[in-house]
Amino acid sequence: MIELLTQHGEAILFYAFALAAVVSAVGVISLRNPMYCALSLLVTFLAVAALFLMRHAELLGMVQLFVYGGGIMVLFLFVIMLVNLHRLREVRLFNEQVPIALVLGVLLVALFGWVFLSLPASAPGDSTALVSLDGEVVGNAKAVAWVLYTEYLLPFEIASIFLLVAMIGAVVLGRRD
Amino acid sequence: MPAFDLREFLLLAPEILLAIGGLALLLAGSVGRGVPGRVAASLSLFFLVATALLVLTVEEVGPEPRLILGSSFVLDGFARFFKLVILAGTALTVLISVRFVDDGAYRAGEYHALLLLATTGMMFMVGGFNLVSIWIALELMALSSYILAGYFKRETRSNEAALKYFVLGALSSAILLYGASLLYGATGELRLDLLAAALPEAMVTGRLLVPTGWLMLSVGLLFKVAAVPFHVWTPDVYVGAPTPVTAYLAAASKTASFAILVRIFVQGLPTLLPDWQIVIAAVASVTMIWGNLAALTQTNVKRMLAYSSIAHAGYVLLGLLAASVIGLWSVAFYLLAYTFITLGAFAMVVVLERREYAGEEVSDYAGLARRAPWLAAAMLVFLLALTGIPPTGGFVGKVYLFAAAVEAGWTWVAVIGVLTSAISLYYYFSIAVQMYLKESTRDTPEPLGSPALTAAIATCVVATLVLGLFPGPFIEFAQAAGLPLP
Amino acid sequence: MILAFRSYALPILPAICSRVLGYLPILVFCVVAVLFLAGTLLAARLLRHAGSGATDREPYECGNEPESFAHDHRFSIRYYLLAVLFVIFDVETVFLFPWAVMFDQLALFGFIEMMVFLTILVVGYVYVWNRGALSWA
Repeated sequence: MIELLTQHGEAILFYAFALAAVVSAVGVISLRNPMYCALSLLVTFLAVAALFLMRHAELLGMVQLFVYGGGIMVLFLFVIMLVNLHRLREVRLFNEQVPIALVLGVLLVALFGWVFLSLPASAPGDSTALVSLDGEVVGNAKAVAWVLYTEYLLPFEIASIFLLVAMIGAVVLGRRD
Repeated sequence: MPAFDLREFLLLAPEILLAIGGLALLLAGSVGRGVPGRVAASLSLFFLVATALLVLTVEEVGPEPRLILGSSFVLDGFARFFKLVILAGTALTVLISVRFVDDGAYRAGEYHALLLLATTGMMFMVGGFNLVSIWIALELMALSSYILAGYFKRETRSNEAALKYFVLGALSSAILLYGASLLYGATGELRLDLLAAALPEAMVTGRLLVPTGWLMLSVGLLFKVAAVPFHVWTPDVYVGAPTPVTAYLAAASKTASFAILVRIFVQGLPTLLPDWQIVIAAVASVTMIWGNLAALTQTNVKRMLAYSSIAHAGYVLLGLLAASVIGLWSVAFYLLAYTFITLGAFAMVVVLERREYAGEEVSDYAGLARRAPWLAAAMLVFLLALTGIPPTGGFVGKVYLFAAAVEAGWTWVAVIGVLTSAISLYYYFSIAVQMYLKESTRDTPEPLGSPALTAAIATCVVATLVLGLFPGPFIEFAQAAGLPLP
Repeated sequence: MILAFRSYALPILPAICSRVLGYLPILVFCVVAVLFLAGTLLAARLLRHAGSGATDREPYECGNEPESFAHDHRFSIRYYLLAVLFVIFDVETVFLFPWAVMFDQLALFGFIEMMVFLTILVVGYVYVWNRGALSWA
């Protein structure tokens, strides 16, 4: 039993977090109370952040926690506050397309399962590529930073214009005038 | 200190200027009561023309593409051609929206800023050489388009259009990105040429990752060009968005999306050519058939034009299907002609449109030939061009697209194209019948032109006719937009 | 039993995943937080009086009578606008972190690049300010 734990510890942790992510994602769309849905979404975000951290992508894990767990959750909570909760109880949660959607969903899962299971089984590769810069190990944040601000400089600047457009959209569509 | 040739930034001067223009308009439009519509339109026209001049002069584009800035962008004839077409399309959109955004509570400064920033995104898109660069520029264009589609926020149809466009667009972008990540996982490369080189080996080691990856990638891209069965957003979004925005989506957005579709398929996935040819053949056939059949029953002109633009996407896909030299430049030429034709047709819709979305029915064109003969003649030219009847640019474009398909061996798809073009004659000419053979009643709206609108329509008519009567120089221009073929 | 645990598990634990063990303090933190929560709620449950009348269900307003129902109020959309702007500037901050980590290696080039990024977002900030989205919230 201990040997099982040592050999497959990382796999066990991965499946645990992945299961948590999937179950809470299903919970987001199927729970009745909007607050429970929001909390379920938070669990999804936390599980995905844990998955990132397990694969040595610390920067991405922290970004996930900051932006999703911090910002997006607040957005959801504000929406729940703004929408009148009392009327939601009469709304039907799912419509007639649910059976077809379920069938298609299962088909998609099967398809992706086939795609990933067809790959030769191997242990997760070591993550030195994620944390090293020119051969030496410097940590994920520095490695990502170097690539982001040198090779992907232009997409980075385009991302700033993109954020600006998001601000414009928020004001244009959200202002009451 | 990273090693970069700072002079490479000068090569990006057009895009930088356009982005600065967008920012300037944004700031100008934010103080106090904002900028008057005409001032904003003039400013954006100024920036657009200056950017076009910079595109033409910034670098002598030789036969070899020039990679810049860590190879995320490329300067070649393909990028330059499409940048100019997109800039022309945006300039015409600015002209037809002068009246639209000025009269009402909707501010002009932000509208034009969003247009310019969306165009900046498009310019980065067609110049992108890396899946990440293309994707982030695509997102910039898409986000600006979502906001523009919902700009008339007091109208329910505009809100509906923005919501549908946003939800479906975000979903398709996610699918596109996931496909790109699967391809990256299989090959380890994001740069299109290195991706192409790494594909043959990746198809063996990556098993099913590569087919899944490029299929998902193409789903995302085909959504953007509104091909069937990823076209569902188009009718509702085109109808609900403010008409100048619809014109912009139909012309510039579609052109840019086609440019990246062609570039990714030809330069990034050449080893998969037999596979994607089958997919494109199937999609093109279904798109042409469905788009034209669905347009037959429409009475709302905007919805009819939406379905017609879906059908036109099918015709353009024929050129990509051919994957030959003639195929690629016929795509370029057709998109050039299509930009002018579509913008002209939607400009005509603007002429007749009123508040509460009146003036969008086919019956509102009744008797236009008597009330405004020149406008009716212009609309007739656009209708001829959309159907593909000489002497318009639409005819020349379609001839070369079908010829390219036949020459590459895909004759049956070209036959479908010809048959569906014949079908389209019926619904395009239902408008002409209304204009020339019916009488106007008291309820039909009066055409309301403006100098800018007239200039836009005149430019489109002249361009359509010139492309049809003297296509030679423009075909040479389109041939400069070539890509190295497998 | 504790001795058995120590002799069996402690030598094995580092082999499971030394990296994962680095996050053990976070697990301890979470457990303490959950215990704290459970403890306070349990204490409140044990200590409060056994009332379930109508008065107990009214929202607490420092001893005053509630004047109107909360769900009658329509909240202003300005709160949502602020939350959206917060997310946007949060993403901007997130971009600043890796830049700060590599500041010395990115030197002047990186500095100018980040200043361009920040300038574009400051333009957005000025726009939002001028349009009055930041007032009365």
